[in-house]
Amino acid sequence: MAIPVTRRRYYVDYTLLAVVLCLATFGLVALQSAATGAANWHLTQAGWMVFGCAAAILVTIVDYRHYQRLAYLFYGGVSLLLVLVLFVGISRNNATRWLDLGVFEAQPSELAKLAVVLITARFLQEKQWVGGLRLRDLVIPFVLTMTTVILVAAEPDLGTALVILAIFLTMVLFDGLRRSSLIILLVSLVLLALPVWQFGLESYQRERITAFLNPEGLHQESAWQVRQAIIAVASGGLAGKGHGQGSQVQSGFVPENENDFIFAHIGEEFGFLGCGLVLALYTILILWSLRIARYARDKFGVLLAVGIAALFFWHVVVNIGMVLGLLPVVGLWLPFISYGGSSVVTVMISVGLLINLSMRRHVFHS
Amino acid sequence: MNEGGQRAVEERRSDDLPDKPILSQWRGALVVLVLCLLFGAVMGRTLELQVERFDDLTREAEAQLVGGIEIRARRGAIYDRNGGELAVSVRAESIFARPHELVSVTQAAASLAPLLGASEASLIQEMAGPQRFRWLARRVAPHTASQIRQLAIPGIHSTTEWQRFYPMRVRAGHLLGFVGDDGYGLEGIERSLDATLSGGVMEVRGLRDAYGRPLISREAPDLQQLEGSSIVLTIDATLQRIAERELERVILEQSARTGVILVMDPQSGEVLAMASWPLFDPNRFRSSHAADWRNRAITDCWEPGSTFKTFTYAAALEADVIEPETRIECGQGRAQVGQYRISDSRRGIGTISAWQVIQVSSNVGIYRISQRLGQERFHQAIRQFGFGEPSGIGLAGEQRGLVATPPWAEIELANRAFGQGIATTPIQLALAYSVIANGGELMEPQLVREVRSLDGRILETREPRVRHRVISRQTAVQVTEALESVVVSPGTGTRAALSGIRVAGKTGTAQKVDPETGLYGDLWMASFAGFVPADDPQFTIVVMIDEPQVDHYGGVVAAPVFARVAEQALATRAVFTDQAGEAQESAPATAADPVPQETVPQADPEEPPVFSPPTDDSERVTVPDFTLLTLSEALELAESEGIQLTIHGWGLVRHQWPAVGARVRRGSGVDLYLRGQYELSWDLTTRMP
Repeated sequence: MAIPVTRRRYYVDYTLLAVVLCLATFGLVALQSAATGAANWHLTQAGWMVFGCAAAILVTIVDYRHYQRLAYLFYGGVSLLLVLVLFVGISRNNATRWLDLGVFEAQPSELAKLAVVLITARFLQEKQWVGGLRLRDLVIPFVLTMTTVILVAAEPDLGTALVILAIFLTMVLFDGLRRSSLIILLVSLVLLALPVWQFGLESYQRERITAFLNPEGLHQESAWQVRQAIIAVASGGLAGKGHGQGSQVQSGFVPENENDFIFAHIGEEFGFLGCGLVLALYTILILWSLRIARYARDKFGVLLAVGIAALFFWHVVVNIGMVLGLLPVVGLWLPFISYGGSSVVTVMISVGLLINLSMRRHVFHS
Repeated sequence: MNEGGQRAVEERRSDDLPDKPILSQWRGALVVLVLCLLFGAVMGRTLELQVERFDDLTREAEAQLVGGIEIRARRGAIYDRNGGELAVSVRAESIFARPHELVSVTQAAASLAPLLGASEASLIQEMAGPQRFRWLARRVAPHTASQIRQLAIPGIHSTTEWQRFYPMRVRAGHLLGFVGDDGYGLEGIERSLDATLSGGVMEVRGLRDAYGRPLISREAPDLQQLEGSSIVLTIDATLQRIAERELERVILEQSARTGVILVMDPQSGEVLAMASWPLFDPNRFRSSHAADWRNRAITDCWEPGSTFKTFTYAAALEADVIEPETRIECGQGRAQVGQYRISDSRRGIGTISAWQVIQVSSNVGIYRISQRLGQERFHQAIRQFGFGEPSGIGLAGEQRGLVATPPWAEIELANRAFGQGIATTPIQLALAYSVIANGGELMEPQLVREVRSLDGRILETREPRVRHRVISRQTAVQVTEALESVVVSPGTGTRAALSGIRVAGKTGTAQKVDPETGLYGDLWMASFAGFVPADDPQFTIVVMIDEPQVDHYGGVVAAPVFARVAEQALATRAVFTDQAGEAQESAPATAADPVPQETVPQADPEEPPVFSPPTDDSERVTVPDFTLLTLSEALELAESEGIQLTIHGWGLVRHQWPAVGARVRRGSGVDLYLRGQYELSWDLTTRMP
């Protein structure tokens, strides 16, 4: 798989671009169907994608090693925004997640994912311990990450908070933990879950999880939502009902079918083949991100790519898992497909970072 | 593993070219394995759902879409006996929000608030929260709906529902009742004939959405087959208006509490008008007190008072215990009954003929007559006249009245002989007076003439039904003669007299039991019941005025009302009093004809049929300006111009289509959009004839 060193100083990763293009196109097609009889979601989404591309290009132009220097600054800025959200944020559906930026509303929690990836990558890059990491070595990034997690969870946005934690842990595990530390970590995670369940969760969050564990209690709204999603996906069958033809999603049986539950839309209208195609694209995307990690020219680059791959991975697994009733409903978007400006921009910036990494892997520092 | 407390920090130089991948082979393999495991699980689940459980869950999906979809077909209309529309169902749009689709709740609330006439705060409250479906306004005016649609606010939607509309507003409101939001009749005719009126329910695949709200499809012709049947009432809207107007007038003049005017065809038992105070507009049933929904003509019982003497007299004649000329000793107008004393309002009558007892309404005299009759026969006669049991009119909430079974104390016999210690509803009284008027037969009261299908076919015709004969024709004639004397001096009801028309009737002035003391006090029920013309009865009219404050005698309060109603009612059948013009008896009496009207000219131009009949198509007319007219003014204008109206909403006309000045074919339609307040009662000073 060795790529020969070429003369081109800047190599653009067309495979990555192609996969991203496919996913984004698929997402717009699905959104257009979900938007039947409603607002022009797909057009708005396309606008966000253009905006995201511009952001990605900007991110690509600057050598990623500058981001290593700016990581903590970025983290500080994002943390400030997260605090700001809690005080002056816009509330919707019992959650305060949005900041009104005048022109549009943004979710700083999306940027927080990237901030945690950046600081974790920088921290692990700067220190290399023989024999793997001990937990005490991780105090600083853990505290920083948990600060973000708590700020996000306070909005409340449990799904995003958990995904940030998952990304951090993925990166740490990837870098390598001692076996003893690994065991301590797992045990403490389990112990932590109990008080969080008891005191740290909003009632609707608890309800979602119990609904997942007890899907027969169909009177609960989230159980109903999941049940409807399952019915919609199943009724799609092998080949799906066709674009715009999903009777379940089109008649509103699946709430949020443009957003967190768009996979139900895809499942009903494009069937098993459509689901398979989407999953295949995600698989390629994540494997390609790991390939970029493998060939990155420094450890920061490796961890950055791994962190982004983890971001994609957890989003895909948790989102589809919740739509299919495998995981509790926590409210996470499906990258490139779910409707939403902040998520699209975050995803495009991530893609920009990956291109940045792959384009500079052969560049010698002059 | 080199523990040793020190960490050997290997500083990688950032510009080193990695000679081997940092991502070690086994770790990479592990990552790929985890990825494949989890993605595989997801893929497996998809396969399980979409292939293995496909049949199962698809069936469930279809059941959700098809099962129990309730699309209700249009409800049948209610017409008066002349085809005027009293209740119709029109399409109306309802506005709802899907809060999760809203981009900005505050912006949506700000733009909707002025259109819906609601406060922004209340709309925000409606739209906030986790619900996925919220009604914002049910059945709004069409132009409001179209304005809202034009705003195209994401998350704000509209759907079409049926709106029950009562074009004549308060007219016969109590009788008609109203329909709830879900399309079920809740009161009055709407309730008692709900099964006939209500449209069928259709299951249409795919038309129900997740919110369970069926959408009425304009394209679904099948739905028309399920439309409810229409009902033609026996009510005559013109007489109903006359009754309501006269009722309102007397109630206001007398500061009375409530009252009822009932007009019935004595020959057929058909109810022609049934007015009850306070008037009630079923279009706005929510804004009136539930007590005002009561149709007091059937739900309220009163002691009838002296109007009841008629039946004591009739029973005595029928039992042959007296003749009209039998001398009755009334003495000084006082009689001792056990420890009680009864007295007449007019003293020193002396000995008079039995019929004069009715004429001057002597309590002592009627007591003497009831003594001759005896309790048992008197009681049986009362029951024969239909008192103490439901009239069979078929409306919910009807009272049966109160008739105690003998043995009675002597004072109870005396009281009942002149209508106290007994309770009747106005409908019972009207039916009993109709017995006298029609020659002795108790009729079944009729409210419904016909049931018609959507396309006008008659599905069912209700014929008059005799329940039984109560008195002989001869007795009826004798009682009628006595009743005719009431309106002649020195009778108690001279104010009910009409010049040139023979009037038979009886006054009633009942003292009411004070609810606080349980004794007869200073509260009165003034009434007059009778029929016209006495020689060819066409209308039985019962006027009951509860707690008049200015006067309290039936002969003063109720008799003039009876006269006014009778005069106007007769005029609708081209029977005129002397004062009303030369046309007296110009038309042959039409009482025998059970289907009158139609060709008889409208006596009162103020109340044309609601939707003008189609006229000659050949000529064109200019559309007049309907703006800011009330509904009845607009209808009057439309009739004179030969234009058919389609009414949307209620209140004052705010918008019309086509516009003023457009040339349209005579008989073609104009859409009127109404909105806003209208006066609930008529302006007495300008509209009274």
